[in-house]
Amino acid sequence: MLLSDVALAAGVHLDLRCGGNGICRRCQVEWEGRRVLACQTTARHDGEMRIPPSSLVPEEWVVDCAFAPPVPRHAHPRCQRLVVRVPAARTQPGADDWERLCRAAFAGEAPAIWVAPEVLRKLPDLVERDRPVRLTVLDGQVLDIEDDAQPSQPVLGVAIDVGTTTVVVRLLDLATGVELALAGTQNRQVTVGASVISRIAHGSTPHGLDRLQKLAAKQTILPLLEKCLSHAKLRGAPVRRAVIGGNTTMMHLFLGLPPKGLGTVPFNAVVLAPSPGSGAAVGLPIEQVECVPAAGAYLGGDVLGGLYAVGLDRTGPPEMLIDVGTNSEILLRVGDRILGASAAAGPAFEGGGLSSGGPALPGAITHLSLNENGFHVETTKGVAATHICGSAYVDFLAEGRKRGFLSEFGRLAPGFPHAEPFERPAGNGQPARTGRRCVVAKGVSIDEHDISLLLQAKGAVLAGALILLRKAGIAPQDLHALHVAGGFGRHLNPEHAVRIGLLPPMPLERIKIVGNTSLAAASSALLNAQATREIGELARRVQVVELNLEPDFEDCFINALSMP
Amino acid sequence: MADMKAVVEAVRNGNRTLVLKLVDEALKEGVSAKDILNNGLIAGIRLVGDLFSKNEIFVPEMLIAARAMNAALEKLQPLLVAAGVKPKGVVVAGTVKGDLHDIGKNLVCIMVRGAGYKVVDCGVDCSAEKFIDEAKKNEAQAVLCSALLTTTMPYMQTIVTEVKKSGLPLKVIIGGAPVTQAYADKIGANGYGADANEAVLVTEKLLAR
Repeated sequence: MLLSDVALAAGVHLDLRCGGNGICRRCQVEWEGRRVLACQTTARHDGEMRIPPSSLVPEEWVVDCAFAPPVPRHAHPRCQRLVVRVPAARTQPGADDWERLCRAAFAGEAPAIWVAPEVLRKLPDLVERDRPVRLTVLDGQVLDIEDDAQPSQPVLGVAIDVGTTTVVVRLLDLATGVELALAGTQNRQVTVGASVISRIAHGSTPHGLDRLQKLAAKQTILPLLEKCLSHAKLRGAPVRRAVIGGNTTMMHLFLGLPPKGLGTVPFNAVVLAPSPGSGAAVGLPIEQVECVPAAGAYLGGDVLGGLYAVGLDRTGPPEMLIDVGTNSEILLRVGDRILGASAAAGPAFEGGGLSSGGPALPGAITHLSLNENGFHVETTKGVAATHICGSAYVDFLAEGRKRGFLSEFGRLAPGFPHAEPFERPAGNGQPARTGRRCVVAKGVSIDEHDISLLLQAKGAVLAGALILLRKAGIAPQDLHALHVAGGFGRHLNPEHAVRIGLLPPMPLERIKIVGNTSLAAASSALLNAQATREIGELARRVQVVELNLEPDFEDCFINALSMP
Repeated sequence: MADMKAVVEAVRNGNRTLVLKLVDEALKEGVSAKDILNNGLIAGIRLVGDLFSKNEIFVPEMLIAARAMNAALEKLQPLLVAAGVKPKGVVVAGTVKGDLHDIGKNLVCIMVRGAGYKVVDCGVDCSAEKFIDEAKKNEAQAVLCSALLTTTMPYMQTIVTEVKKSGLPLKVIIGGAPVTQAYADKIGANGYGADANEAVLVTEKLLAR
């Protein structure tokens, strides 16, 4: 058994971001008196494995929960409460209690709602005592019949965004649409691999899929659900519905569906619009679990949901939605057409592969600027800086072009006082590096190799956006709005993003940071009976553009590498 | 030659328009296509490769230089063929079956061409048969294959096996972000390049005869 498997079985989450391939060198442990990589070492006998804290996935995870969009209004609520006084039996001879109730509650044709016999047990007594009867109906099923004088209990549902890196659970009262609690944390699947591709690879091994399914459901979502219930003082109350939004791979892994097809041409899914199922089947104490439908392997329910949440499903002036990440999704609505593309930007904007890059943990630098004293940084929670977030890298590149210390290809100007030469010997799976870098905070720097990776990432996003615009025959300035979704957008400075050529050039007031649109769409689907169908219809309308197969993509990408 | 120095500089700077202009002028002045190739384009790409391996330039600059050089090479191609200029060797290149990523592979093609080889670009999603068929057709000496996904990497083992079975004297050289020297050794590939520049060096080493 590999040492990394031993750790996992013991509930210890080692940082296995490269998927256990021995590349990232984060899983170092002490075994048999030596430092070894847990993912490359087999334990052939009993012994003691010592794990330094630096080899673990960080426990603390800052999720900016205030960044979730407001709970949407719903025209066709799935959950309804009605209060009705049921006329006495003798006023309508021959009509049973239930029928008299329906006639009183629903003027005209009674909707198709069903009521289980055990729920009816309380009705006769309420009718006889002429009490106001409160019906709670969810998806056409009567959940409860009560005396309206009794305080009502919330009908619980959760909207869940299963991101590759961050998972957020939002507890809602389906009867009122009110948010009761919100909690988020790092997707524990990161211990297996940071990228979607590494998880597809792992999920294609005999025990890998089961492990990934449990990491998502039991190890990530369940603790968040319990945290939400605790916060709302509703521990033990039944959770009726869950709607999951996420990219197609996350959805497959959560449902325990083999993801192998998603990893290679022709990128085939097992199912893009799964039917609702029981929570028990996925290891969660929830009556029914549903998923926001996807449009393809690389246009998942999170992105389709995003389209829906910002209203791009309706006909209107040209608008674009960009979700920046390892695979940046770009969608363009022109008239009633929707074009969609996925640009493989690489993990640079999430800090992957960069000398001081990292995700949104305490100590992440979110903003950066240059003044007469040097670099000034702002961090999450105001603690000492330990690494840099995507938005701050964008700030750095913009400052570089504005102040003239970076060339169009991101080279540091010779003589720039805040740059220094550096040497890093080979190690950690990386070759030896020399060159110049800027130290922006103690122990935190940006070097020219980092800049090269950032330019490649931003080039992919810009090229993708420009190609969609070209195919639609419109210019960036014709865009009515550009919506930036996802965690990356949280601290992003739109002016800087345009300045460095990450976002297409357009009036800044039309760039809108829209937050977690996947969560917004999942919330809609939880509350609104039409939402899932409408999102599913969207899937059929998206015209997927395969960027790699566009003849001008390479040229466009190379042009987009430089900064204006 | 002063002219060729300007070509080298223009290639290094990735100035496609200027490279094409200088090549045109050189041809008009009677400089042979072979001279322009060796002393202008190949010398330019050599310089770019050296600077890259010394961390003095990075991928973005290498990409624009390669693009500029490739544009000039395409222009010279018919003239080189007509003059009977023979390449140093022939290789086939492509991205493995199941994989669509090609920007890195395209860069390798240009850099290896820049080193004086004929490169037959098989495109993306290439099966072992496709590599072997193209290699046979073009009398190639090496197969350069890349994979950008850990899910498509395993196919490289298939390529190595099929090449061995074919009995052809073909070297298999692999590369791509998730690929490592250790992996190359494990599957019995003849060579591995960590980047486009190394791909050139490994190709030269293995095909030197």
